Amino acid sequence: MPLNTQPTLSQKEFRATAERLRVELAELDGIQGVGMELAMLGYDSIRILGSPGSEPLIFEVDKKANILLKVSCSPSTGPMADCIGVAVRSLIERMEGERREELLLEELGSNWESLDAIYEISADVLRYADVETALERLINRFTSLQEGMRTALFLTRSGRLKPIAGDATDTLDWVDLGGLEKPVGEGRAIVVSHITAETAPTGLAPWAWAQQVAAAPVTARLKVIGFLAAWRNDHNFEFDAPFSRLLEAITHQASMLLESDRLKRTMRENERWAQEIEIASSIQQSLLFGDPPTGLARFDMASFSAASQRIDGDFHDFLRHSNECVDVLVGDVMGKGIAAALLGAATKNQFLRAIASLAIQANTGAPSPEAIVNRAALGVVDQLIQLERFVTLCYARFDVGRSLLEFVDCGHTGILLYRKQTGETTFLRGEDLPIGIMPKFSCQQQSHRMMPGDTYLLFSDGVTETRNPAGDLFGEERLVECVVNWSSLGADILVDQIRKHAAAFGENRPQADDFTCIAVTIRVDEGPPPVAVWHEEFRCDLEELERMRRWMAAAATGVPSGGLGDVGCGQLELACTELFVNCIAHGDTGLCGGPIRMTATVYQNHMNVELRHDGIAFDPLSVPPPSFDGSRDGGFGTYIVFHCADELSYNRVGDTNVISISIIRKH
Amino acid sequence: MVEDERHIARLLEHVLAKEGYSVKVANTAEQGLEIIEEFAPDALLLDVVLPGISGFDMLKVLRQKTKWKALVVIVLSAQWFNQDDQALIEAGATAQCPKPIAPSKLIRKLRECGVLPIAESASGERE
Repeated sequence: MPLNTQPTLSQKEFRATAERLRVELAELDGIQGVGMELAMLGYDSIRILGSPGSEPLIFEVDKKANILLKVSCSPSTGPMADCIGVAVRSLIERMEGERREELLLEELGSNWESLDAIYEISADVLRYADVETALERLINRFTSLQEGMRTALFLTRSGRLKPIAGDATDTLDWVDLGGLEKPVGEGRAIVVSHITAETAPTGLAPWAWAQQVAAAPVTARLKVIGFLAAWRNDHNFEFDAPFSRLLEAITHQASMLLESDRLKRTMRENERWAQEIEIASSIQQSLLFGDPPTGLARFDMASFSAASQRIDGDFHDFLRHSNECVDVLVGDVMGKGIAAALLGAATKNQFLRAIASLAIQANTGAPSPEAIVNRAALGVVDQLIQLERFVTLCYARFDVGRSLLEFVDCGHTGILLYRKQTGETTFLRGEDLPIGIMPKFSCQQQSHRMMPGDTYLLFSDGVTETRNPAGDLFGEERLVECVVNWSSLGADILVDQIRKHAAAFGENRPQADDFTCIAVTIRVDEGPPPVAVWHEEFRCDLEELERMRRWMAAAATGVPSGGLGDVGCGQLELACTELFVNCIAHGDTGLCGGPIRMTATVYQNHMNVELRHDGIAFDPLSVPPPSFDGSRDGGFGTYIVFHCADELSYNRVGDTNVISISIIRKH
Repeated sequence: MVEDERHIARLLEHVLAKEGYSVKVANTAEQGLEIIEEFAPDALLLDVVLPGISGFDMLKVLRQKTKWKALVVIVLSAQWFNQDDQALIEAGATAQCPKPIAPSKLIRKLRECGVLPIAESASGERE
């Protein structure tokens, strides 16, 4: 029997095996006088019991451990010897089975230990703020799993392999790795045993003198960016398959840590950008969006601007020449982002400079819109062409003193006009090119006669290009509808309604573009003093409706030159009837109940009617528009009033609701 | 140890025996309650998810008996049961050891709870 390898059992284990055999054999019934001797290379043999017989039976207890068992009995042949032979073989098989199970349990235990270590490391490393500490912790924990193991983690930095954690100190090149570089570079784990001259790494590699080294790649976004090596300097040790799997799991952890760190840094960078954009957005609001002038007797002006989530190049401003003359500038720089916003600010600045310099030169009032735009364009056109950008804009002068609108439209959205007196809507557009398209810029001014009651809307393409989830545009038709429906309630309410309708159309998703909307309404000129004022008080009762109508019709006949006209009279009757019925309808709910006091003031070409009634505050302007699909009741009365009256206002005076309407003569 | 997963029970038994502990294994809570009375252990390793009576209920039954009020009970539970930590402590668990159970961790946990292998506790007693 060859016994040519070193023993793998310790003395203690060897003795335990012998004792086990002795006990088991002693328990076999009917076997007595058995001698037993156990021998293992490198140790003294152990005689257990009895005395050796003349012909010993020899068994190998453990081939791997090279243990020989000599069992002797007397006689060494015959049934007793056979019986002992069977018993010993069975015993040896059982012991081998148990030993295999033990090895399996050991491996299982070690796998669980590794698994637990990975779980622990996963939870643990998240606590570390910097990736280097986390990687060091990971490698230290991994190294602690196996006594005598040494490890090194290398990551590529500037084309070289820099030691990050473990037992390495020198920076290496891939060619220094001796046999590891090819498989690891291809993304495979490898175990190199019996390092030969061909596979020997340079002396710099810390495993240069190891018997065996295992390595697995660290990857990031499908690229190998380093590797983890593990080695042992002791002999007769082999990295097994479970160890290779563990090594790969640890390198995956390292890869995840590095990727997580990269994502964290990207996230922080994004947050920083988001903050900068927020700041830029607020700067944009203050730099690029001016506020409409207030306190103008013959104008009603309002603007609404909302920057999209990004920084865009929309801008607008107002310039008040007098109480009767105001310029409005609306523009949009092609493109998005901070560059567009800066160009918007620069363009706006050029306009202010142009106005100032032209005013000084002319010394005779406001320069014309055409001159202003031409001068401002001179200051930016070259830069815009150089930057391959252009600006669309509309510069409009509303001069109620001369009843004149003068404007320059350079490829912008035009001006939407709603003329209350005729019910017509028109888009006023110029034919000039945007600034920045041609090097020699020149524009031509357009003029348009204004009428009392006119509403002008200047807007950015962000309004009409609001999209719903199906991809449909809000478009000009819906915009016109808003202006027709809401202009009688004043510029403020009109721009607010346009915003709400566009937002509802887009299902309140974030805007893709800046949204700018400026409404200018020319108030109805009251002209000379009233020709007549009528007062009357009515009971809050439907029976009074007919008397109110007669009274109103009589008052309307007082308007000179043929009264309000058929259309005007019809609108007056409808509006007053609805308001009157509204008071009665709410009488039961405590909104009204006392008398309805009415005043009709008759002017040269229009008529104002005021209703006063006491009760709970009720603002008809706050009533939502009716639902024409029948999904909601109410709102029809106020809707009719909005459409009939040329102007409508509501005031609360003490406990009294005061509603005023104005109807212009119409033929 | 009350553990219905036989391979886990076998592994832990092996690990603990190697460390010098004497271990008895039961696969159900009912069996566990019987063995405890016979074996009178220093500690109980208890799986939470068991067929029939759960480990959680077994613990409550055990703690109702004056005799076992102070018994060290280490609950073996899967990681995702961690949120029940408080409930387990309230039910009377001394400590908890999440699965997969690292042998070294289990032994450390036993030692932390003052449960030593037979040889060590015997020498401790002699001292």
